[in-house]
Formats: sequence, C-alpha cells, structure tokens
Amino acid sequence: MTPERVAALLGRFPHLRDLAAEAVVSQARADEAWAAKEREWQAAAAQAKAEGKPAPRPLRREDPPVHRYRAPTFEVPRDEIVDVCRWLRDNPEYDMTQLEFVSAVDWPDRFEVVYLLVSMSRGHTAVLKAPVPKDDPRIASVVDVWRGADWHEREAYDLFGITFEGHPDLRRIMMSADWKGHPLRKDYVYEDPAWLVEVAAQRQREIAPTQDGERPSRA
Amino acid sequence: MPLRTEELLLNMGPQHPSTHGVLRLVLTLDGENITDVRPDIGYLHSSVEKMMEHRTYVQNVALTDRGMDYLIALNNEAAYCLAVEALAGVEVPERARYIRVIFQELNRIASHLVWLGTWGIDLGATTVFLWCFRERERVLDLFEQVTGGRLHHVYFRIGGVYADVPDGWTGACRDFLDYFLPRVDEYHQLLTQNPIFEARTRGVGVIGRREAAAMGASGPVARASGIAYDVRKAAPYEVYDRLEFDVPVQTSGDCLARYLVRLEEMRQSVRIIRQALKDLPAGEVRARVPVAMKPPRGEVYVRTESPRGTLGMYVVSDGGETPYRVKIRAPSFSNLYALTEMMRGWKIADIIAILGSIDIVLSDVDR
Repeated sequence: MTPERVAALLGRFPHLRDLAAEAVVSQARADEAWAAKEREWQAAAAQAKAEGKPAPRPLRREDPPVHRYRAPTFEVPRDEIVDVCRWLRDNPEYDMTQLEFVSAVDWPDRFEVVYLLVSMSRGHTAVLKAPVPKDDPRIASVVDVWRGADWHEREAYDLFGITFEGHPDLRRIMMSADWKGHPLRKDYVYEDPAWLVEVAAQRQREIAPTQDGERPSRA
Repeated sequence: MPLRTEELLLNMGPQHPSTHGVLRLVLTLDGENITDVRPDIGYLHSSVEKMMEHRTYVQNVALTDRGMDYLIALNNEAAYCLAVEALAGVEVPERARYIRVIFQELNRIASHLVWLGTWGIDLGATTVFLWCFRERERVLDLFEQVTGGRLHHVYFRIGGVYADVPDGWTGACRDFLDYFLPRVDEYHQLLTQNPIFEARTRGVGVIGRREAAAMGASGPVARASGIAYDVRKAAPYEVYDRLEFDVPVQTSGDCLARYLVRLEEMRQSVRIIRQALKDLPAGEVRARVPVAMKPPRGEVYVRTESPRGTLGMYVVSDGGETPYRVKIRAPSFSNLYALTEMMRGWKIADIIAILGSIDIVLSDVDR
C-alpha cells in the first residue's frame, strides 16, 4: 500500500490508528534521546580525561521495541471492523479480495483480534488489529465480507473464547464439543477430562497389588 | 401417489482410506447427489502454537517439522526461520539462502509426487503411484545425504542451514534433475490423454475465481481457478527474485486444472533448482546466532509459498526467550474450506477425485 492509500484510508475512518507509522515515530524519538545521552557521555568522558580521572561507565542501550511489519498495520475499534473490512474489499484502490487469517493475541490487559488482508491483484497486504476487552470478548463477524473467515473465526472462538457476533455457525472446531476452557489463553490450565481420570483410577485399582503380593485377576 | 424423496445424511471418515488422514465428511445427499458437505476436523489437533510458546526460538524449528505438514518439513522450517530472522534482524549468508531455495524446491517436487501418486490410486491408476514413489525415493535419498533424515530434517537453522552440502552432492542433484524431467512428461502421457482419467477430472469440482479468492484458497487451487498469484513472485523471499521461473495458471478451476498446474510446477521447480545450483556461491552457510536468542519486542508476519499454498508465520515476541504467540496460517486449512463449494452438486463417486485434487494434509489443517 502506498502512503497516499494509507492516508485515504485513515481519512475515511478517523478512528483508525496507523501502528506502523506510530512505531516509526517512537523509534525516531528513542534514537534522538539516545543520541543526546551519548553526546552527554562523550562530553563527560572528555572532561574526565582532561582532569585525569577514570572515564565514566559506558552507556548501555536497552532494546527498543521493534515492529518489523511487512504491511501497514491499523488499529481498528471493534465497532467499525465490518465497515472497514467491507470498504477495503469493495474499494478498487485497495481490492482486498482475500482474508488470509483471523486470529488473536492474548495480552495481559486485552485480546487483540488480528486480521490479515491480501490483495491478489495489487499485491499489497494490510494488518488490522481490533482490541477487545477481556471481560467482554465480543466482536462482529466478517463472514459476510469474506466467506473464508468462517473457519478462522471458529478457530479463534475455540482457542481464545472470543465470540464473533453474526457468525452463522459458531462452535468449536479443533477441540471436542464438550471441552472446557480455551487452550490458547495464557491463563489456561490443562485438566484431564473426568472420563480419563476415571479410566486411569480404574486401571490403578486393577494393577494395585493385594496384601499378600498377588495381583487380582481381571475377571 | 407422488414419489417422495428424502435427504440422507452420510458419514464419511474419519477412518476412510481416501480422506488422506483423519478427516470426517458429513454429507447431505439427495439420492446420489451431494447437496451439502460439512468437513469435521480437529482429530489431529496437537496445538503446536501453544507448544511453541513454551519452547525457545531455536527449539521450535524441530516442532515445525512434526506439528505441521509432515510432507513439506523443509518449507515449514523455512517459513519459521524467515520469521524469526526478520524479527531478530539476522543476516543469512548468501550460500545458505541458495541452499534453502534448492531444498524447498526439492521438497515441493517430493510433495507433489506424493499427491500425484495417491490421487492416482484414488482414481484407480496404480501405475502412477508406483512411478511417483520411485522418483520420490530419489529425492528423499538426496535429503538423507545432507540432513540425515527423510521426512523430519531439522536442517534449516535460524541464520542459515545446519551444515554445508557434502562433496559431490550438487552433482547427484543435477543427475536427479536430468533423470526427473523426462519422467514428468511420462506422467503427462500416462494421465492427461487417458479417457478414464479425463472423464473423472475434466469439469469436475469447479470453483470459480471469485469464490476461490473469497474462501481463502491459495496455491495451486487458486491458480487453477485463474488467480495468477504466487508469493514467490508477489513478495519474493530468500533469492527467488533472482531466479527465473513461470507461474502456471489455468482458468477452468476443475480437478484437471489443479492437476495440470501441479505438473507444470514440478517442471518449474526443476528450472529453479538448476539455476540455483549454477549460481550457488561459496562461503559460510550459517550466521552466528546465540542459542538462547532473545529477539527484541515486536512482531512479524512472513508469507511463503509452500507446495499447498500460502504458508504464513505470525510471530509475536515480548523480548523473552520463547515466542509470546505464534500463529501458523496453514494453507490446507483454507483450501479444505473451499471444498464445501467445490463439492455441491456432484455425485458421491466424485468426492474422492475432488478431495484428492485439493491436496490437503490433515496435520497441516489441524496443527
């Protein structure tokens, strides 16, 4: 996507935030701050040398956060996700004919639903991210925009417990229908299903030695 | 009295020899015609994405072999390594990038041979199976000489490949290519003009261009429907931008088109490997990467063209030793979803032909 298209998209949907551009700005700010610190250190070192004192301790820069997106990334409010998606698909300037995946990331304070869109004719991609609060994990389904979202949304529902409103058939896809919990959440704790515990306990009873050391026959 | 018909629900799988793994299809039938098909998946779900969150970046390379598509282990490794390299800013030596291309294309040939052989068996042509596996054996031998493994290689490393190819291997690889290219023409002669094969594939399981795109189909399935899209051309990775090759495209969107696309892809792979072997530079094959690597905070999405379609790796790092989140965009998952569109209106006997033609691997679908 060219910068003009990104600007047009941001103009059309004023609530969108361009995360990639923000990352560039914050990176530039961090670089500036670091350069100022380094200049200060060099001045201090030169002064120390002139006074014959040992040089001050060298500085260590902490790893700045990097965002190596291969595509422009936008933060979309969850109420606008369907509008933005439909507009991106129908506008010939963008022509996002394919939704490559829908998934989620479980951050400590929120879920982030991630959409990856691809334009096969224009060859560009875009990432949409919709933050969803943890106590109310709901977002509108984009199945009406791309049919291919069907299974991806079911997977995100199954593994993260995010409800996609308006999905025609939202049920578990990977785990069995009676599974408890959502495995890809960070706070998920695996528990053996009740039937498995029962089978294992039964087997333990069977193989446990009796008091005279003989095993009971499996009659 | 008017004749009354009733819809029948038929359960196919999960233990059915022609579902290529554990896939269950719930078919709604009107007589012998399919009115609806619902694939039921998840039997092979191992939650490899969760497992990756508990292992270090370097250990995860081995997981991509086993937890994902087992027929294209090297392509999986490449996608994962590319993602972590982009995240950590690792520069891969030139020679390693060429070697990776050679191995990815060899794996593409091996994967397409398995597909063609098993699809041939599905359609009742046993000869194809035997011929394809004869050639595949030679590819696996080439793998074994370098990686020591035949299916699970763990050969690619973050920052390059494990070790250089042994002396004489490039010659053996060239010999194989000279031997293999005429074999593709043999498959072509054996199948393409065969009236039985043609009757079972031409015009069967059609999916249009628009539907294929909307349903998320990629790779040979999309290209058989007229979508001229290949990640190797659209967003080149490794050294694909320096190599010449064509992207085969068919417009009819039926089983025959998908077969023709894959057949031509094998020829193009031979072309790519020959160029890569010719240009193979000397030098290092592995950049120095710490075993306990900690990529900086951030995230990356890398897309590659695997034999089955677009294979994406979305890796999120929080600065720790293990990834915070890995999302694998599996090509088989989306291609299998497109199956529901392809099958509507066809007869039970066509299920096998259509299912085989999209080339799914269930461990890739379920992950």
